[in-house]
Amino acid sequence: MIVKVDGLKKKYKKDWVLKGIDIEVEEPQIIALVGPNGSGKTTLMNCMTNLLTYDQGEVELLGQKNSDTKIFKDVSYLQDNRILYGTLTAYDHLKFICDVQGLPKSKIEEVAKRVGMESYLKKRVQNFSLGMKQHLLLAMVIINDPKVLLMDEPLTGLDPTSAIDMRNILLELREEGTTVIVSSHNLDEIDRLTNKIYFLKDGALLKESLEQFATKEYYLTVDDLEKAKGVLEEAAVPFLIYNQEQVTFEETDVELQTVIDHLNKQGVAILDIENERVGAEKRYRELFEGDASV
Amino acid sequence: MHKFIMFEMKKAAKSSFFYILLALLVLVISGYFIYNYIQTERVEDLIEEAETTVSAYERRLQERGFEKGSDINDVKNPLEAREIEINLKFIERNETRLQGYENHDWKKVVGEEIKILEYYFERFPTQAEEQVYTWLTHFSREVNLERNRWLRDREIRPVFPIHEGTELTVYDEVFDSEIDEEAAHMASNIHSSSGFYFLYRLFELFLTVFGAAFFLFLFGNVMTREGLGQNGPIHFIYTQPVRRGTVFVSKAISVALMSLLIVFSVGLFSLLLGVVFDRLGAWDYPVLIYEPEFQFSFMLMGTFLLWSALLFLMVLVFCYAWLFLFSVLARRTSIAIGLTLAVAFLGVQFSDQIVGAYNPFLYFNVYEIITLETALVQENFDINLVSGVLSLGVSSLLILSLSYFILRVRMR
Repeated sequence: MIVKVDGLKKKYKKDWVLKGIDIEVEEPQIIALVGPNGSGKTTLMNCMTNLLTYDQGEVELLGQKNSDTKIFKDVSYLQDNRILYGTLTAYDHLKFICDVQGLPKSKIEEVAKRVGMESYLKKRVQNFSLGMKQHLLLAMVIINDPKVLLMDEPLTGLDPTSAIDMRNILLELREEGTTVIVSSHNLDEIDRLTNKIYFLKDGALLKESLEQFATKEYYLTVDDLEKAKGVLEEAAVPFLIYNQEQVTFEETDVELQTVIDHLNKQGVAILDIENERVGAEKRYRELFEGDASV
Repeated sequence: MHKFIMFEMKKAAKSSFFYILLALLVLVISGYFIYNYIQTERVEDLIEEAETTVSAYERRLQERGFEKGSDINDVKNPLEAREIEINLKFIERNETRLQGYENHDWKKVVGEEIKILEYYFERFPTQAEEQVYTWLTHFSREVNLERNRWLRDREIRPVFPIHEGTELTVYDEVFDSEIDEEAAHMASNIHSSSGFYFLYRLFELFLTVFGAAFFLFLFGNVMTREGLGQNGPIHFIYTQPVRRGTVFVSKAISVALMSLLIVFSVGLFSLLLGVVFDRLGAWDYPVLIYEPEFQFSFMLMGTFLLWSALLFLMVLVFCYAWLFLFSVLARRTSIAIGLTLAVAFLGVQFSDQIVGAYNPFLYFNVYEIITLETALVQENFDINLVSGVLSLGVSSLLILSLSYFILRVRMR
């Protein structure tokens, strides 16, 4: 098991901020954690990396307990830029990681080139822009070629070009076999990274989000809407009537061909078939605002 | 761990504030050296003084119509003969000194002072019982005599002046008048721009709670710069494959090592100032150490400086332990430094009210601990370097452990 979070609960004073989180990751992939501010994303990541203690549950990363600091040879965590030392240079930060992890110094130049920060490698962090800091943070977490990478809002402060670069690096890491768990508010970027999205609300992972995520939604225009409704109800197909005109369903609920077969068998003619990609934003609105029409 | 220690040192060394304080320290030391340089009694001055004294006495003889080299037995008036005899003795003494100064024959110079004191002890054998606490005490005279014998036997160039009143001791409590008291303190307040003696005076002045305060400002943000409780750099450190205990211990060791380095550099810089502008001085110059029952001994100045530096480092570690504790609790640099300073100053202020050699606040005045002056005043000779190192060390360990415990608890 690459990542195993089992019944993780965390309480601040009297309030439960994490209410029993379960996550299991068996294959390298990118998982997005999405939720409004205060939903517990950062707390969850901090608990997973043992930066915060928790009240119940267990966390194992790469088969080891998260209390064992040795895991950080293969697990990296990209955090807020407040973790940087203003008076030190980017090089100092990377050299320290190389020193404590026993990595060759050549990795510094290598990672700087990969991230595109060679020009300011020897400059003090206090003179960095927000984007430059994000680049350094990325360099710091990938320099050790981690097997698990946790990223808390990695896209903050990045210009579009840098965001694209960041996305490409993450996709490369996935190809290289790294499991990435990323939290972000940028739902468009999340869509480009993965369709495995965990929605977190009030300290709990929404059950729906743990199921297979629908990437496509179908809209069928039929000659007899009432008849089609009866046929599909009888066949126990989950569907909705959209705009009083179309039959709509998600690909994860039922296959398109099954619906076509049911309708054709009962003589309902299909006049048109449309489909729409179901993005993170739509999903987010459904889950958090109860608005499925957008 | 050494990688962490190096990283900690790098963090401190890259701070502008750190350099500003170090520059200030260099300025203070240089300023104090200039003061000492000006105050130093130089051989040229002593030659001039001796020559003036000789001339004055020769003039007196001339006024009495006595030619130097004439037979004193020719003087009929016994009172006048006695006066002339004394004058001749003074002239002879000063001429001997003069020769000593001019030829850098320190044995001769010191020998003259020894003769004066030996003569005094012969003449006033009961002084030990009479002058116990009244300046100039028998004890202080004995110390002066033995110091001069030490200088003579080791042929050490003295730091002038070396007359009988130059070593004021804790027994000199009662003075006949305020003028006497002022004069006694002035006479014993000796300065020298020779390396070792300057460093000795610098340590006497600097290795106190005030010196500790300087270091607290220098390393005041060692914990708080990690952004405790604010998702600061400590989270970067904690997500590296290193035990958290190691991080904490490394921080403590790194500040102790940097302090050692600074104290060592201060020593080296002071000696260098002495060498460049005057001379190195004697590492085996005698430093008075009190012992029970009106006894005393001397310690080599080099040894004294080493022990002082060691004890001061322990004082610093003790202060850093408090700093760590308050940093973990308050999480703000200014509050942590303020509280640590308050504890240190109040602790020192009220240390004499807590009896016992294991009160760590007793050991802040390093000079008085090594010379056993505190031990003598407190009538407790357990108050010494070893007890100091032990009590400061154990207290520091306890406070550091408490700090670490609180740090772990506050991660919740």
